[in-house]
Amino acid sequence: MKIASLYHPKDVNDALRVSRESKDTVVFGGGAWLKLSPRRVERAVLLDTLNLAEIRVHDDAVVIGAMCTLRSMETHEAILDIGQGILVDALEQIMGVGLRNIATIGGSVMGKYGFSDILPVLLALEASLTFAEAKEMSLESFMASKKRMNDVLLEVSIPRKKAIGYFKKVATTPLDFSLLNVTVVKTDTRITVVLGSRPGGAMGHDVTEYINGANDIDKAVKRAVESVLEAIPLGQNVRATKAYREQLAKTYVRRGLLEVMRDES
Amino acid sequence: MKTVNRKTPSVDGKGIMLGRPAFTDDLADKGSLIIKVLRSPHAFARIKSIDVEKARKHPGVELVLTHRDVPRVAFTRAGQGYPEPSPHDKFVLDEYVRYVGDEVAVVAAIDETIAMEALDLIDIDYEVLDPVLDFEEAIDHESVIHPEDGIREMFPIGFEPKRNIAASYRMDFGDLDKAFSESDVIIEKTFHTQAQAHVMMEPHAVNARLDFQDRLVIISATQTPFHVRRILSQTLDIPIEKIRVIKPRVGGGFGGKQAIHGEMFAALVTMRTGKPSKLVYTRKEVFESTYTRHPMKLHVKLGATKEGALKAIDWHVLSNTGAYGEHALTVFMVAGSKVMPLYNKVDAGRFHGDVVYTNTTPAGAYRGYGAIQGNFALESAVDILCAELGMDPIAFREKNMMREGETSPVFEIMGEGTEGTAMTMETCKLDYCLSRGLELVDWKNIYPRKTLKDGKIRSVGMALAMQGSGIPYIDMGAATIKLNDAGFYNLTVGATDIGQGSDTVLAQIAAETLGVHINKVIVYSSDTDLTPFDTGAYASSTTYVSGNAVHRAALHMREMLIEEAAVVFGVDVESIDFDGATFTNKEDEKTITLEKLANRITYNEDQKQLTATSSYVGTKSPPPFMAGFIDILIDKETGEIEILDYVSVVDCGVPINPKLAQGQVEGGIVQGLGMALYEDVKRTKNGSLISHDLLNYKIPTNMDVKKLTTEFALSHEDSGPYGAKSVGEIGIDTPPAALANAIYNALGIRLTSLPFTPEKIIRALHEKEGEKTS
Amino acid sequence: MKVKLLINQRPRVVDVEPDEYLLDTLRRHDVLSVKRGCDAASCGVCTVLIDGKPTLSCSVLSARLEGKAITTVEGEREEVTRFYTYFGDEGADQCGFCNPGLALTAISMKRTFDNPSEDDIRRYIVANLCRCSGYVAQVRAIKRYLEESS
Repeated sequence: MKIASLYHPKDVNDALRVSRESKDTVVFGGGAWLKLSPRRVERAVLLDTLNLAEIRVHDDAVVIGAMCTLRSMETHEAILDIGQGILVDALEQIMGVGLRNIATIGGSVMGKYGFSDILPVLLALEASLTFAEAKEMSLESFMASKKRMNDVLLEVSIPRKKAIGYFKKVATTPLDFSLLNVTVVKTDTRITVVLGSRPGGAMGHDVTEYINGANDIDKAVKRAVESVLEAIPLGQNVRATKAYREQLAKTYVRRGLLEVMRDES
Repeated sequence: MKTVNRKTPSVDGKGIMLGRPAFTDDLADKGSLIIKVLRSPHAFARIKSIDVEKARKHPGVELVLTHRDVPRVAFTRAGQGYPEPSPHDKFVLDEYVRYVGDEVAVVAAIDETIAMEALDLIDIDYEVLDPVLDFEEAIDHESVIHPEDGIREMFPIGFEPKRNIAASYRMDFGDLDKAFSESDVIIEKTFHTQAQAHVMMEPHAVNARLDFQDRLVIISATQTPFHVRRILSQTLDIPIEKIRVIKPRVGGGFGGKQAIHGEMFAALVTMRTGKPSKLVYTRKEVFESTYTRHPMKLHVKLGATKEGALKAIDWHVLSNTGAYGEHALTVFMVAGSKVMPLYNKVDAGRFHGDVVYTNTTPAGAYRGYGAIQGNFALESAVDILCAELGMDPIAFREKNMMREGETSPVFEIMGEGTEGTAMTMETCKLDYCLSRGLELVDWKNIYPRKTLKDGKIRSVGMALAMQGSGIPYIDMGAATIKLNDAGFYNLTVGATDIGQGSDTVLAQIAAETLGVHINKVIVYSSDTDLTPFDTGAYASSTTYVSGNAVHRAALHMREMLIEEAAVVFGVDVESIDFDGATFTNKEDEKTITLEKLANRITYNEDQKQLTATSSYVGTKSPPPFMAGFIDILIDKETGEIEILDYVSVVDCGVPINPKLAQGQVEGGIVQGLGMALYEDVKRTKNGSLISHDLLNYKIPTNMDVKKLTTEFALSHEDSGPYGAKSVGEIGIDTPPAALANAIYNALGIRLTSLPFTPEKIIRALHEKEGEKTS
Repeated sequence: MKVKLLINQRPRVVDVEPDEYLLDTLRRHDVLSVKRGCDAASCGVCTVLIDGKPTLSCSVLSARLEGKAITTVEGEREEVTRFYTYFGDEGADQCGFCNPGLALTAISMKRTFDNPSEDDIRRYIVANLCRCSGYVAQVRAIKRYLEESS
């Protein structure tokens, strides 16, 4: 990426104002993948000095500043508690420490990367976002929206609910992007399955109705898996065919569901 | 022995870890012009016109070169001895571009930004031609990749450019028809191997400058400094004495740095501008515009009696050399010559086929050099044959494999581009390698498979392999040992340490012979002005060929020292005992230390400089052997493979440095596993590379191979220095076949096309299940 | 633009372009231990410590590092020497191009973790690619370094 100038805004409103001046002005997260972009940016707006890197623990939620690095997240105790460590599990599998010390949660969210290993988990955990102008928004509606979000992300908030989580990244090597990732989260009231690297962006599906109250667990899981495959479209790219992604989804959604149910008993 | 076959830390590891400037780009002149190369976006095109005026006028640009500005001399970049067995089919720049990434124009500017801007200012009108991308359709394709005049073979290699054939070859021995007619079981199978990338961590780099004698000094990350000097001189018409090539520390080569890459451009820029220049390849350029392994299609036919005696091996091989024919013939031949002798009891054999041009990234030398492709085919085919025979593959190998004291007709028939050299295996511990490996991998308790509680399947698979130790009568290494005052030595070698540790190994050989601690031998490689000749680091030649040269030079130095001591004592040389530190006159037990003697002849009496130079050229190429065993866990629902262990038992003669030798084997194993599991060059249908960075071309990480078990057989090759054979390449050969065999043992599916991705495994399983149900 | 960096304990004011990466800044200022391997945040050979944390210098803009402490092997001579004792002893070194980055990662590990398991070690160094060694000797060396040196 070519960058003509850098801008350190004096506050969030300044950042928002400047970021809207031109389409060649871009708000930066950590900048981990800048190298891969052929784009030319007139002005890069940096949030480095706005104190957005903190993690705050409230009674009902963990609130993560947009500029918090993935590495700071994975080493934080409150994050380790979430979904029995599911978030840390996903974070630890993103490239190496040297990259996770650069990449921020804000950049990971705003990039809406199809290959993301963190968005699916946040989605399953029902995370919400706080923007400078739009204020609160669920991650789900953010992901579903095709519109470019012309706003500055300030925080990601993850509810602190009792949850059991399962995360599986299928990749060629630990340094590869996922061929598919599978997240299963079970709370007291819901069981959610999210598939990422489909290869498109992560999508979730609620399978509570198939599992809760079922007598024959194996049959219930089988129906839940079928419903996931019906609800979430999988496709083809250079890493895997649609058929193989379906095979992976079938296997790991089943294993994930069985695991979250086993953990509970 | 005190130094050889002992744990000796490498002579350079600490300094390099501390970050001392050592690599080409660390040493490059700081004022160097930055060279950037404009590369073809088309797989095949002719440059109708090229306008570089805007680029030339761009402030900060010092030079722009197109095919009109460079000498039109056909050469080969292969980096081999002379005359080369590779066709001279490359021009410095040409009006044709033959693959996506081929060189169109060269820009030198005062900084990188300006150089990149200048590339954008070059206007080109291409006549886009129909490319040949599928190597199975190359021969007699409507598109002729090399239609130009002036290209040639140096001696007959079957070069037919008008048919897109870079080389072809045929050999046979015995009566093939008879051998097959006497076989009870015959199997035939076709195998495909892919274009693996080298991915040495240091990208190719070169710096050129003119020194105060107005000579051209090239610092290059090369495996072959002497060949670079010769090829630059021949191609650019620079008197060879005007060129000095320095090989500093090299960050890995694996064959990828045997060839000439940026040297030609840096030399031209510096000669034309009078200014230092440098060219450091981007990772994309390394992937797109250097080399890959030769992809091959190998058809193998085997015949055996029902008692399990292998009667005949028949191969037809098609190899893809890409746009240029570097190493075309020799890699092709090694696929047979360093594989077929493993089964030397056959009555008849044949090996034939063609090496074709395509409009893809050229293929070149790569660790294994054909042997890994051939090994995958033959060692897979042997297991297929055993399944047909209903015979245990271990018992079959024990019955048919090469043994010590035996030979194979293949050695005499097949050399590298020429006829070979007959030889008997003075050392071949393949029987031990096999039996010890079976123990280490716990074969009898796992073979063919065990199903675990969670449904995953554990299985084992294996393959045998051999390589060579240099090329007889071609590869020459030389060494000079100089005595200094205070009694320490300089060892200068043309042999090129490219990270494999040859400086350490050669210093160990010298220290052992001279009877001193390795700290007293200061080793330096390589510099065409300062060090004696060596063909370079390739063909598994350094320890054996260059090591023999060092051994000889050290013996010669010892003799000279003893002569000097005899003068001191006024006695015959027979009366002198020398233990490396002290000379003793046996007649009166009087002594003089080496330190005193060295000081005496430097400063006080009989002053002189003692140097010993020796060289060595092999008269045979004793093969190292190994047995490789893989222990895997397969998830049959997803096809994912976990490698539990890879057991290697290697006969490389006496390992001079056991830790470094182990590193060579283990590095080779993991590189071979990368090829077996997932490494793959992927292209769009237009022929441009998708896998042009490390995000899209995956090499193994430490999490992919968690356990390696490596042992050496007790073996002593009398012709090698202190009993050594080579060990640089042998490690890479077995993983593809061993893994293919393990997958078969686990699931009953036979994969014949590398790499064995989980998706391929699932597809093959589904096909097999489909057959069952239908 | 000017940025104040603490490079290997030495305050330096460096003039950088807005889109210059730390790797280029360091090499331009003769910190040559930092290598360029892939330029796409995927090989680990450019790893440096920023405020003690291993970071890929090929992907960090220098202009964002005002006041940060940048450490390379040149600034960790003693600790690197200690680490090398184990590394050399295990025969883990070959070409050495990836070693400065790996050494810094191992050193940062020693300062961050108590008693890491082999799996912790492997995960922590997973992005430090090496094409020569086959890794197992590296892991053995790092394990011994973390256990034995203090």
